[in-house]
Amino acid sequence: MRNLFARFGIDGSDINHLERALADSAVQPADMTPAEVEEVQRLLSGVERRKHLSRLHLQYQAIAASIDTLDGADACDTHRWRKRIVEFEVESEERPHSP
Amino acid sequence: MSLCLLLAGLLPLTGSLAQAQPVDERLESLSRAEREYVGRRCLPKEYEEGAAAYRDCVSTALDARSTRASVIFDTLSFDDRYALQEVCAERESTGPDVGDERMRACMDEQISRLVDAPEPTTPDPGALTPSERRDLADRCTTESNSVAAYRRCMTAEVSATEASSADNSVVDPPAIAAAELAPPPESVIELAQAETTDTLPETDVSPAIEESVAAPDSDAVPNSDPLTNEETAPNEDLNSDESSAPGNETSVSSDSPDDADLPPPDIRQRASDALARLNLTIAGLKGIERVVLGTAVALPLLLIAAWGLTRGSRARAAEARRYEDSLSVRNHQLSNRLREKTGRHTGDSSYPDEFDGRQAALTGDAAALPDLFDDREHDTARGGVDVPSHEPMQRARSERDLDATLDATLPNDIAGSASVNDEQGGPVDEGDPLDDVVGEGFAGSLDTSLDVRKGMPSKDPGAADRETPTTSTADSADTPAEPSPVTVPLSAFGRWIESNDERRRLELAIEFLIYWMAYGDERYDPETRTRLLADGGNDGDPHDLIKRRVLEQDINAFADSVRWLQRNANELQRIQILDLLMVLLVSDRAMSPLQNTLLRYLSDAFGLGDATLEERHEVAFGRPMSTLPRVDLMAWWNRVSEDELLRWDARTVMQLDPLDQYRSQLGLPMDGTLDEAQIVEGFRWAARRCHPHRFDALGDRERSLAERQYSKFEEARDRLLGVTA
Repeated sequence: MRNLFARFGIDGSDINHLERALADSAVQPADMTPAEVEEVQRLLSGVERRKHLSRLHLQYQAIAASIDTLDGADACDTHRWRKRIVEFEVESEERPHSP
Repeated sequence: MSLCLLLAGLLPLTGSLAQAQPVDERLESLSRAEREYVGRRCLPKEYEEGAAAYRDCVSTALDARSTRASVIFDTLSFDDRYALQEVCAERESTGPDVGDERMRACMDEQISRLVDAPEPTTPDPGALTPSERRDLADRCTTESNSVAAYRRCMTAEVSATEASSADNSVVDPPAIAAAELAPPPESVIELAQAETTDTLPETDVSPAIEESVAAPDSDAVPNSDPLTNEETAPNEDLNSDESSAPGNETSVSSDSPDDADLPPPDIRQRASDALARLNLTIAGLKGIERVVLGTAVALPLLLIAAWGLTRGSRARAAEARRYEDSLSVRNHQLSNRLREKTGRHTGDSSYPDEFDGRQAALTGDAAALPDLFDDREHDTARGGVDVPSHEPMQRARSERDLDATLDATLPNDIAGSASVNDEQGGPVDEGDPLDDVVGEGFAGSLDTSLDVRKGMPSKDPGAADRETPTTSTADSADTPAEPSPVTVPLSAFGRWIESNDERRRLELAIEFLIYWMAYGDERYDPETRTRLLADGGNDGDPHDLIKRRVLEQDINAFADSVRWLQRNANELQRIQILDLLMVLLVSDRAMSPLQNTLLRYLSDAFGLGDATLEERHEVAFGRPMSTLPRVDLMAWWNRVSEDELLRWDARTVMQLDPLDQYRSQLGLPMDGTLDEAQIVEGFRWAARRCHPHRFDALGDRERSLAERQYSKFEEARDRLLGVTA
């Protein structure tokens, strides 16, 4: 999945930040064509879509944090998770601390 | 009829020969048989038209009989007359001059030739069956171009057949050409004459008639002397060699008085004879006769087959009734509710069938659960039941195709430069989608009905002994999955789980996943959320602690929970964990993108793979699972319906009318009227998902959660059916 927040240079998963970044014409995300930016704008124009995008963003972060579980001998990777979460991976030192 | 027609046709020929002799005197000169024959023809005219007509009729008939041909015709056997008409009719239809004249000429010619032919023969009644006779006559008619040839054919065939019968051999009629050449044996001629008298109006055979023509005043006494026949019926067509054809002696020997002393024929021989006769009979049948015979044979078979089918369906119906009866006994609770609602006694067979049928359907669906989900007899990993798909698999395939297309948009080599917000667990900003949280979501159901503190060692040490040790992973026959490389918990939550006793660890890890999936879709009360984030779990309540970690979006706690389950839960438990998540959080037709993604990831992390997960989904919902969502692409959203959007949002559903909530719970259409069958079917699937057997590898608490969910489905069904207020 594309990490739209990361592409627009937004830390966190606040959907409002992403919307504001999209509204700012000065912000040009890397590796995105104008057509793709327009698509993201249309995507975020829907309340439900924004909501689910934000929720899935968190899940992909969680999957990225636990991706090592797929290294087990009995685990499998039928959905190419490593490829899907590549935009959500963080360095270990950047990983948020748990309480 | 044919005789009348023939006589009518012959009248013009003989009209000029009418004699002036009084009618009565002329009648007196006839034999008794001839008089009766003329009387049968002419008496009706007297009754109808008077004495004059009678006299004319008699005179005409007598004149007609005065001709040699007509007289001989009357004396012919039925077979001869038939053959005569067949021959002449064929010539008439094929000849250049079609008409009575040609017919009459033909008949005259044939009759004149017939006089010189051997005497007609009739087989021994015991030698030929009627069908064999008919077959013989057909063949001789077909292969003979004249009546004389026909008669010779018949004589030869009958002789050969009788000879064969006398030898107790299978009937094997000789070739027609050879048979025609065989001279008629004396005994056959005698029998033929006797038989002929049966087919004619007591007229004499042709030699006698010929004699009467020559001397009309003499009495035409039936000639019973075979020698006379032999003398008066020379066969000019036969040569001396043909007269020695075999069979003459054997035809006589069959009537030998010594037959009584002979041993009875062998049963095989009889059977062979019967079979041969049957074959001949069938071969001699014509079109309509074959149809009749076929129908006669097929009808009993059809009746037997129909009886067998009816018997089978009755047996199945009886078995189904017994099964329904056994089911209805199990669900006393629903029966009682129906009784209270309708005021009827459901077990009384005297009530109308309509009510009983509905009652049986309801009770049957509710009570069918134990059998429907008796996974112990089946492959548990695959669900053990055949699940009919409500939707064609085509949709799933098309989704997969589209998914593959969408996957093509995945970056191949993008550096992971994104960072994760450190404030994931912090308060949300205004305008965040989390604003519209509900208060009566999943959390309430999990907390209010169950003693969540049960089994906590610090609170109730004795409770651990009272619990069944089903959550123990050590007792499992299945070996745990291979541990992932990370063995040290990354989060405090993970370390805390490890600090509990082994039985509790599984329970807590499962509970974390439940809350993770529920709260991920924002199924929580905002006030509860605020409270939990402030001090959740500080009082030692492990469940509040779990909720707090989930609300804080502790992805490391998530990772530790998944990792712990991967290492410590056996395969069956991991499968049932997925089942439990689906039962508690996923409504039919309402698997949200988050749920779909999480379940697919957990299935892979648990080593089960996509195939097992989709099978479990089909077992639970009877339809294929949607493909992995791509919420970051408009192309994916374009195929999402408004109905799906509504069902995905648990908070929005909770704000709907109660009946609409029930519809959503059972996966029923949100609009339009529902019929009883739809409701019962929706409940059937929901109830199947909750069966305790599906969670027998987990603990009591997990099974209790499933049972609570079942009660909700029951309530939804009853409310939609109007059984309860």
